[in-house]
Amino acid sequence: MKIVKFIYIILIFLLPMAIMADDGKITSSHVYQATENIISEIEVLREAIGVDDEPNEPEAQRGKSPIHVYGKGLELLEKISKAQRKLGMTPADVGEIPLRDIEPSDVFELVSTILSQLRNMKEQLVISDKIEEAKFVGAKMPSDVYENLWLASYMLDGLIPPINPEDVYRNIQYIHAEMRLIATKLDVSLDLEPPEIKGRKRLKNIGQQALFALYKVSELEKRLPGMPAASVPEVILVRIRSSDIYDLTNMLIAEMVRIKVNLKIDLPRGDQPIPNDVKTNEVFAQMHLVVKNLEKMIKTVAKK
Amino acid sequence: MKKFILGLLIGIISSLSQSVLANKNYDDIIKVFSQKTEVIVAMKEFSENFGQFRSDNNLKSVDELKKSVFAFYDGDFAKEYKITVGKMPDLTAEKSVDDDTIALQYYYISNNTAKIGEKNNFVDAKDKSKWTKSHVKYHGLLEKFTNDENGFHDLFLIDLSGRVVYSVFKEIDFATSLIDEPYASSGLGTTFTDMKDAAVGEIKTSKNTPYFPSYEDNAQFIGTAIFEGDKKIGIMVIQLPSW
Repeated sequence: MKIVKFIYIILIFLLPMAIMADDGKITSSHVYQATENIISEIEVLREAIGVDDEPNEPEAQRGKSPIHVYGKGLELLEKISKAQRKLGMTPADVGEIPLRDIEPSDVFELVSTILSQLRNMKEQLVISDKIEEAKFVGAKMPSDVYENLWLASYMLDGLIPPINPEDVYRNIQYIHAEMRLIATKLDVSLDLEPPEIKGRKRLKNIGQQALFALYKVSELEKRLPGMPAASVPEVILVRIRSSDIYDLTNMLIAEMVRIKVNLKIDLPRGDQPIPNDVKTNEVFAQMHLVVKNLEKMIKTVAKK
Repeated sequence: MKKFILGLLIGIISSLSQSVLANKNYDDIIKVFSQKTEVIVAMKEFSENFGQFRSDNNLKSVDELKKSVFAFYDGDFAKEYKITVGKMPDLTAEKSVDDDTIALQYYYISNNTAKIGEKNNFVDAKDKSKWTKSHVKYHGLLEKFTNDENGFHDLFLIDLSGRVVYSVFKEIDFATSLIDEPYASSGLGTTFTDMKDAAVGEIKTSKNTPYFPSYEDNAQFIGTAIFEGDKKIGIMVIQLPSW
């Protein structure tokens, strides 16, 4: 067992160095290769555990930058930490997106951590099946890496309890926290109270609001000097799942960090605990508040 | 063999944690609520008054009402279904409902101008029925428990013959019979069947499966029997929100 652990450590620490030695620079293709290994490792875990759900297949991605990929990686790491908690293991620390321009090397470091966590899980579960290391394929873009991480994230859904209102609510609190920091810099006063919701909201309604929010963020980014606007994905709201909503909130968090980097805000948003007993309507109301506050920001920035 | 044992072990942990997550502490909340005096009286009144709804309103024929109800099925319902599921629904089976269903669904669904998901805001159809009088009396309590306090997707009161005599959100399963298809084999229908011989305080939970009246959103139902003293008078079922 110690030998196996030793080999993993060698792989985790020496593989990145070996890749860097190639031409001295980590590219998205290197990260892509690591994500292929992540997918294979999750496949081994799923097979050993007997997970037979059919994971969603993500749409082809475009316009993603390393910061978006980093955000997706954190989502994956959070799911791994949930799976570890469920299996009685020490959960991985998740952390935040670093407040600087994210390079492929940053993402590579994160995916290496993910890989190491997965291999550690295998070791603890005494799963000895080895994967065939992925081959290096050049000319990969951040969008390709994002797509792979998204697939990995969907595959992990079979190993963890379903994404629940509390998870999404916590992510929305992160968005609010990021927005408060941005609003202070932009001198905008935000609404603090969510609107009262009549009737009953469903996942589809929350998904719609999250998509509105992404459009609004993109609109805000267009108005900020030197800020390339996010390309809003063609999210189809048909048969929307809780993991899709979770994904949308993670996209919003990544965009908030991008805006903070652009505005040179170096304050972290801080951690938030996952709350208890959150209702669907409360999640909807909070997402609606995000949209309303983004509209306020857009109006203020437009006037300046 | 090692793989089998590992799979079995993790499978048990997995199913335990998922069911705990899905049901949280709802069992106790539902049990306590179903034993409240107002709920017992509501169950009794809705059951007694359901069958008289048409005669209370002097409805000799429901042909005109049927047009309105089916226009809702083909209009608002189908539109929402297409947005959610991505294709038009086949409503043939759902349109095989009887006259009692048509009458109640006309007054509380198709002639209720509130949007889908907000039909709960309509309290009084101002018709001549005793059922509506009961609705005015108890809907507030049931709606508050379902939507405001617990965020459930819906709550149903079902009489012992399998008739949905009340629901908070008035989806198209409202006022239908759970003895007949298409609802008998649905999650709601099987929960009712499972509850037939249930004792006081017993809880049954259905599988989490797509549910047609809720636009194929995944739905899990939790049922408990309502007793007046020792006598079972109906079944209360909660539909959990889809997550």
